[in-house]
Amino acid sequence: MGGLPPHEIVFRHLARYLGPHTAKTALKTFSERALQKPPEMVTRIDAPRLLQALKPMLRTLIGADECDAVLQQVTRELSL
Amino acid sequence: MTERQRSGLSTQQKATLIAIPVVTGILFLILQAMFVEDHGRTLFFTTEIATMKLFGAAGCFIAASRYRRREYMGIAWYLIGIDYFLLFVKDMLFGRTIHLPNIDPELASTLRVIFVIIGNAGSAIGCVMLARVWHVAGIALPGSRRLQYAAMLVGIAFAVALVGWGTWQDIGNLRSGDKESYVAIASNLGDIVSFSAIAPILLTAIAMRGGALAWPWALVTLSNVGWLLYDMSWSFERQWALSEHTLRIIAEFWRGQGCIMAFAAGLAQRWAIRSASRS
Repeated sequence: MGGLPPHEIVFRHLARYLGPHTAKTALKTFSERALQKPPEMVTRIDAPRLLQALKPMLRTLIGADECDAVLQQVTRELSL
Repeated sequence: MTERQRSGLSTQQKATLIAIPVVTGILFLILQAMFVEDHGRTLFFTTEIATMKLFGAAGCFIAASRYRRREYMGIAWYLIGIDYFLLFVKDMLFGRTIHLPNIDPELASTLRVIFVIIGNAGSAIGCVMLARVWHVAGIALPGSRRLQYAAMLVGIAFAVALVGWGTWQDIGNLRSGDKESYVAIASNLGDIVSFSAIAPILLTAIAMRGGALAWPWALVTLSNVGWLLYDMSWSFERQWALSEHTLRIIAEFWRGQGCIMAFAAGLAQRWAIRSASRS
């Protein structure tokens, strides 16, 4: 997944749990809330802040352990 | 990208989740036909109901075990699981058919009331917590806000219409000193809350369609629908014009489905979380 843009990598991980519809909406909402920009404009430098913003939602839905594992995996794929 | 990587659950897991209630339902229909004699039939239903409740409790605890202590979803699953477990213990230790040897009937009745009240309170709080997850997590439900509220209002109105009249009658029985009416009232109030939660839980499942978490949410919805149909069987017994025998089969079928769907939901929750991170 190395060639994918950051928002696409995050989307793929979210969609596994939330489904494509809610993953897309959540990505848009949290990207605009945390970075004041649409997901397509998110760069690798922005990505940690976006992941931080998504953390409370993921922790609620899938628990802290799973959330941390997923975010670590995303971070790895983003080569951060 | 494999099916499991896309949706978090493998095809085999999805097939298992569908098979659990189907096989259980078929087994119930076959087994109940084998017990024709009164005492054997009563014993069969008592054992079957208790077993299904134990499955329900196990499923909820399996789901809760995926979360750390004090995590929102974990608490919700534990509370619903405690309800199933207390109802199971009640049936096994203080029931009318099966109970501890030499237990005072008055004491057994009091303990039944206490277990049902605590269990239903837990279940009601757990269901409300599940119904509010979308809000707590900050995800959007499908449809306009007006449509969402309309669906929730219809759910509440339906729940009150279904259980309200019976509850009113039970309150009347309470005045005449019938202690078992406490059980019925607690159960009915718990049902009103649980049935009211069907709409938001279903909307959450729809919102997550295509994802692994849609499965536990859909199965929790179906579990609540199973309990709703169980209640409907008795609420409309006159309108159905069915024999007591047939009505009992229908009612217990749906109660069993309500419990086993909770088991499947818990299993789905565990698989959804574990399989997605390990794939």
